[in-house]
Amino acid sequence: MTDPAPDPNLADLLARCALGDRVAFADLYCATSSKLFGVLLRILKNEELAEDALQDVFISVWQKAGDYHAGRGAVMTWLISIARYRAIDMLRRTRLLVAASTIDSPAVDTLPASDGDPQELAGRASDDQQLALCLDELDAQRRACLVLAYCDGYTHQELSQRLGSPIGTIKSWIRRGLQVLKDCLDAAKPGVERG
Amino acid sequence: MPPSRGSNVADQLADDTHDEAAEYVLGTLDGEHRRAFEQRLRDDAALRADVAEWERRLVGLSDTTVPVQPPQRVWLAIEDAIAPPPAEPRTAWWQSLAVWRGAAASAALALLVIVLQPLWTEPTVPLPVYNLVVRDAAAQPLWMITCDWRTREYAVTRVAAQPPAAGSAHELWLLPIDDSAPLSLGVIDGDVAPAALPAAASWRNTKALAVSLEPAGGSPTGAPTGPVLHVAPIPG
Repeated sequence: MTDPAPDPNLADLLARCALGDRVAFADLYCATSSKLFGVLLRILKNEELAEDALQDVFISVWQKAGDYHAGRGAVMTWLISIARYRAIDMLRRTRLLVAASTIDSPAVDTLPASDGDPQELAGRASDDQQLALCLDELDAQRRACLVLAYCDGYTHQELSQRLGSPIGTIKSWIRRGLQVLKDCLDAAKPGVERG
Repeated sequence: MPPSRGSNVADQLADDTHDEAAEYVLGTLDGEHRRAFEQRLRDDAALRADVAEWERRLVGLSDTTVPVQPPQRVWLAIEDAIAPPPAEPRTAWWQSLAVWRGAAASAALALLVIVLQPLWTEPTVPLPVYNLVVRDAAAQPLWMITCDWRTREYAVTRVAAQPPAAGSAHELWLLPIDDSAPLSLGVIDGDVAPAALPAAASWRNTKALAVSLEPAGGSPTGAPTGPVLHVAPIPG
């Protein structure tokens, strides 16, 4: 139930959802909601928001099940992407509200999922061996930037505060990091389908 | 993609476009850029392919994110939200204004509607997973119990339940509809991590959960021996 591993059944379930099969939808929810809730919680750091987001995500999956096609990647990748974009949208919106009332966000220092120094963060970045290998080509700071941005939804500003480096530096770390990652991943397995 | 003519400008443009897809997926595109990028995504299949490619490259970063079981209320809300729209008959002839105007005072017709209405409510697909809250007489939530009949697992979370007196224990039971013997789900004075439901338990044959007071360690006989303190009926 909590297994994030790709499951060929997910594609079948999604296809049946597209036909209005509510039982398939319930199965899809059972198979994937824990992973997605974990992803949402880690970005949003707030259970209530994460519950709202999960609800939105699945309603949207139900409505858009027919839009999915294999070219979008594995079903789990598609679902995680939908969840992350939703969480990031919510996060940016709530942060706007927070920013309007407080000068600096204390949230950055109290984030549970991201303690550990960049070295440690980078060390447990992924179970995907190729990705882990390619992340190893980056130094700890660049890796931390990518992990904190992807998993925790950090903005440039927050990364800058967290890692104690100017925003300009953060931006170039990210650009460079992404470029290195892309070159490395694409060189290793061109066009590989992950799951 | 801008046409590449080998010039630095074109390269730079191509780079920028690419960076944007990557940064969109990473989540670091600023608000305004993010919205503008999403606009462009709508009409640009190549850009969507770039984004999908980046999603695939980076999704492994979420491997270290621990799955967390969402509370059951989320599913219930989703199920409500996707419930089929009210069935056709709800707006059928007897509900149209004209008919009501014509037969405004017809008590017989009103009665007909009341009697027939339940026949047309759309049956929802029952998801055999539920959260039940065991409450005390003052409706204080004592325990929350989640049963997932798909995985045949249950979990118990203590909310406001007090520890029992020394030498006794709270034991949780499933009460079958056919009034066969209650099935024990064990002592629930700590949180119960997801555990297997008894093999004999059946979703369709369960009418309620009950908590009884038993000796420390639980009922020695396999059946409730002490007073039943709380009963939580299963709705529907």
